Amino acid sequence: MRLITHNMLSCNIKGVTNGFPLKIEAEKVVEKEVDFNPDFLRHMFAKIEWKALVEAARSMGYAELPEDSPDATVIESADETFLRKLHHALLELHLEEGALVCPETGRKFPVNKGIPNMLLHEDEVKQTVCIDLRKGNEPTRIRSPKDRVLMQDVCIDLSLQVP
Amino acid sequence: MNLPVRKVTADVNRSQPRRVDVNTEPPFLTLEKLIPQLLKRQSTRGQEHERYLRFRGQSGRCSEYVSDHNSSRDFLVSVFPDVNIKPSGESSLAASGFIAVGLFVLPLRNSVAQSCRIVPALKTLKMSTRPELLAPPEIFYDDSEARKYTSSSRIVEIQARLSERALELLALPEDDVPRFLLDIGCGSGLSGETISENGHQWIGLDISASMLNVAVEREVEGDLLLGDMGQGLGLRAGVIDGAISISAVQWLCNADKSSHEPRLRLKAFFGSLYRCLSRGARAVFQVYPESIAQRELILRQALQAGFGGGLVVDYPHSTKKRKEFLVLTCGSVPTSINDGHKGSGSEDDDDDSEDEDNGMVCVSDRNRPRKKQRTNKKGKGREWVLRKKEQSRRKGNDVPADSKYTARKRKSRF
Repeated sequence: MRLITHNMLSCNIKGVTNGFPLKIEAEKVVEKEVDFNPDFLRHMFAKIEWKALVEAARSMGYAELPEDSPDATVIESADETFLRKLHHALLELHLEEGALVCPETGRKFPVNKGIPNMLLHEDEVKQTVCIDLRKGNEPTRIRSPKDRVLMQDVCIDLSLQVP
Repeated sequence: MNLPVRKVTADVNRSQPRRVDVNTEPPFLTLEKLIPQLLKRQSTRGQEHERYLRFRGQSGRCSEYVSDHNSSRDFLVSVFPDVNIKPSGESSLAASGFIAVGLFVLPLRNSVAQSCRIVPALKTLKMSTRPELLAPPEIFYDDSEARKYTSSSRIVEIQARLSERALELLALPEDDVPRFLLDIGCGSGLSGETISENGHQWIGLDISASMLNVAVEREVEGDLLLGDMGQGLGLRAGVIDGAISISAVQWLCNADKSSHEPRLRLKAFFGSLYRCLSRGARAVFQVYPESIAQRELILRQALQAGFGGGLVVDYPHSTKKRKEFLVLTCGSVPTSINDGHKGSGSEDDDDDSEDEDNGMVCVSDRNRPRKKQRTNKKGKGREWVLRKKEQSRRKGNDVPADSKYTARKRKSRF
């Protein structure tokens, strides 16, 4: 996983309001050379959260990015030294093994062979409908869209004993 | 529930393989005993099941894990339309609306790994040509299937052609700047390769780890994420320049676990996609909806999430070559894309972009004289009602079917 992807990823767990940026716990980092394309970097620069990128690059062992976000003139200028650094950080550093950690809940998303596992457990998914199976409880009916909205944040408890 | 079940086998059909041996000592359970239990369960949560079945139009799969708490075993219960079994409890099946479907019960032991061993057996049963009816995607696309999928030159060619077309419909501005795209259900990266060939960067998302492993082996250029699109995409808002998806979204229409609700999963998916796309970006999904109802469901959820756009059908008259593309635009019709269109001349996706142009609202003169509404003594009439219903249907609303009672007047006693 490259840092450009890390910069886009946020934690999707139910109840998490600010799941960005995910902390990186790097175990193995590889570098792969990619063609340098200044146009793409200029295009992406506006979308990048600079602080998160700097922090992520640090945790991967690359500390040459400046702390403060450079202004537009540096990006647009013909001098490519900065863009080269940005290019290296964004596209050439790969997190091969390690984990991403949600800043709010501390939930770890393991990264294996460069693929982060972002699958959520059922109790972490935002939209599920609760149907109570316990004895005597009628299944909750969803009558109107309003009910449905109310139910979205209720999650299924699969451990309930089936009557 | 006291499952007083101890003995023997999902005894299915005489001609079909009788049972799938999962363990050397399978948890024993008779189908005859299980079915009444299941039905009892369904009566307490009947709504849920009824919804799934109705939604599938009785042509789909309804599988779920059932736990027997006494022996702490799990069972995968699948309802297949194509298996003809005649269990002894047929009458009770009929009573619960299961008459048209078969029931297939497999013992499981609490793990996905187990079901991984079952699925090959299911595949040999050849119950359906639609993979999504056989098993959940993460289980269907196991190692062997992933390899088969990627090594078939026919599939590779079709995938390349579809992704080429999807990129074309994406109508990215032609200024040679690489864009940052999302490939949903990227699988082994076949569609991603097309994106790379066109010079763009991409992230691929898939639920099948086996498929992603194949993608890693093939050294695709994009980044890969293991994730479930039905859980929503965990991406920041407004960062993606476009999304494509080849033959993936229809998987969302199936409920593979009891916690899955196709509608909610589609909603979560489209909602999160809408958020992460930048203004004016497009998303193009090639889909194989199973029925009209599925197509409408997908479309309705997309429109409800705020997308504009609609369906583009290639080769509409051919059953085999027919391909449907859902072309969605994010937000109101963006000027940048319009400009791009004027600049690049007419593309062959003009027909759909025209539809989007029609979405613009004219500001009318406030003081213009109102037309007097013509009131007929007889009321508006059947034609009017039918027209209005059609209109509403086109908007994607849930409209009752037309029947002989449509627009009929009530009897005077009311």
